Amino acid sequence: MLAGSAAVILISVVPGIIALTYVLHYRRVGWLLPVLGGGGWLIALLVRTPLLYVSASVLERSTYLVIASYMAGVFEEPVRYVILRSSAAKGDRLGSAIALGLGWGLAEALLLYVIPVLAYSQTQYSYLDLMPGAVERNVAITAHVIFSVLVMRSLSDLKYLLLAVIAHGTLNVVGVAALELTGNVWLTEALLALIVASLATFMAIRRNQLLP
Amino acid sequence: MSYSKSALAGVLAGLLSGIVIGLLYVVALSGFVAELTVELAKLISSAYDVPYEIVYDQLSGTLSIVNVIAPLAYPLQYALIGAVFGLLQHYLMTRLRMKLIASTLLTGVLFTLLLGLIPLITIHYFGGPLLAVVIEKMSPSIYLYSSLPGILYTLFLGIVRCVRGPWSKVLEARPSTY
Repeated sequence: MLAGSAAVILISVVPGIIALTYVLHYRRVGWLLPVLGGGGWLIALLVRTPLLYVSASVLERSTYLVIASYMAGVFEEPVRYVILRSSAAKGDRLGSAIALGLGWGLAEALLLYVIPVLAYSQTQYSYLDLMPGAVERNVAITAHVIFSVLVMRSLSDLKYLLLAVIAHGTLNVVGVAALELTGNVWLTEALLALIVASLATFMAIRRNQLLP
Repeated sequence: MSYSKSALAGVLAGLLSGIVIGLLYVVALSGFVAELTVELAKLISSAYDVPYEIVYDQLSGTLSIVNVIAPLAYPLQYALIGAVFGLLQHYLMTRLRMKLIASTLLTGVLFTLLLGLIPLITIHYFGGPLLAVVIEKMSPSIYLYSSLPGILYTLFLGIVRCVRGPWSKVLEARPSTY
C-alpha cells in the first residue's frame, strides 16, 4: 500500500518539479515567484471557502457545482494578477508566468493530493483508486501555467484577465459535467488532458504574439 | 527594500508563525479540537439520527490524521501565505507611502480579517444551523484561535522587518539569489 501511495505521489508532483527546476535554472527566474504562486492559491482558496459553504447550504447541487467551478476562476485569477502586477512585470515575463503557474499548481497538488494520500495511505484506497488524482494534478498544474501566461498578458491588455477567469471556470465546469454525465473518472481526465494539452500547444506556438 | 526582500520577510514571518501555531496545536489546540469533535458528533448524531459512536469514530479517525499533519502543514502554508502578505506590505509602503510600523499593522489586520475573522463570521451566520451551533458553543475562544495566526504573523513581520537578527543576513543577500 505504501509503495502504491509513493508511486502516485511521485507521478503527481515530479513532472511539475522537473519543469520548475528547469525554469528556475535556465530562465533565471527567482524562487520567490513559485512561493508567491503557492501563497496566492492558498489565499484564494481560504477567502472563497466560506462562500462555498454558504452556497452549498442554499443552492441545489447542480447550480452549486457550476457556481463553485466559476468561483475558482473569479477568486484565483485576480490574486494571480495582483501578484504578477506587483512583482514580475519586468524581466523574463514568460519564465515568470510559468514559474508562478508551476508554484500555484504544485502547492495545490501538495496540499490537496499529496498530504491526504499520505494521511490515508494505511486505508482501503488502492493504487488504481488514487491514480486518476495523480494524473489530474498534472493536468491542473499545466492549466495553472496556461492561466498564469494569460494573466501575465493581461498586465498590458486587461481583457485577458477576463479570458483567464472564464477559461478557468469553464474548464472546471467541463470536468464536473463530464464526471456527472459519464460517471467515468478516466474518461473525464482524458477529456480535460486533451483540452489542456491543446491549449498549451496553441499557446506555445503563439507565445511570441502572446508575450512579445 | 525591494519587492523580493519584502516577500522574503513575509515568508520568514509566516514560517515562524506556522512553527508557533504548529507547536501550540500539539500542546494546547489539539485538546480544543478534540472537544469540538465531541460537540460536532453529538450534533450530527441528533440532527441525522445516527448513533453517536459511529459519528464520533469517523470524526476522531479524521482528527487523528489531522493531528499528524497539522504541525508540519502549518509552517508550510503560513510561509506561502506570508510571502503574499509580505508583498502587500511592500505595496503599502511604496505605493501608499505608509511607514514601516503602520504598514506592518495594516498587513496584519488584513491577514486576520481576510483569513481568520471574516470566514468564521460568514460561516457562523450563513453556513447552516449545524456549524452555527458549533461556533456558538465554542465562542469566544474559536474567535481567538482564528485570529491567532494573524496576530502572530504581525508580531513576527514586525520583528523581522524592524529588529536585526540572524534573518538580517538572509534579507541582505543579493536579490539575484531569490
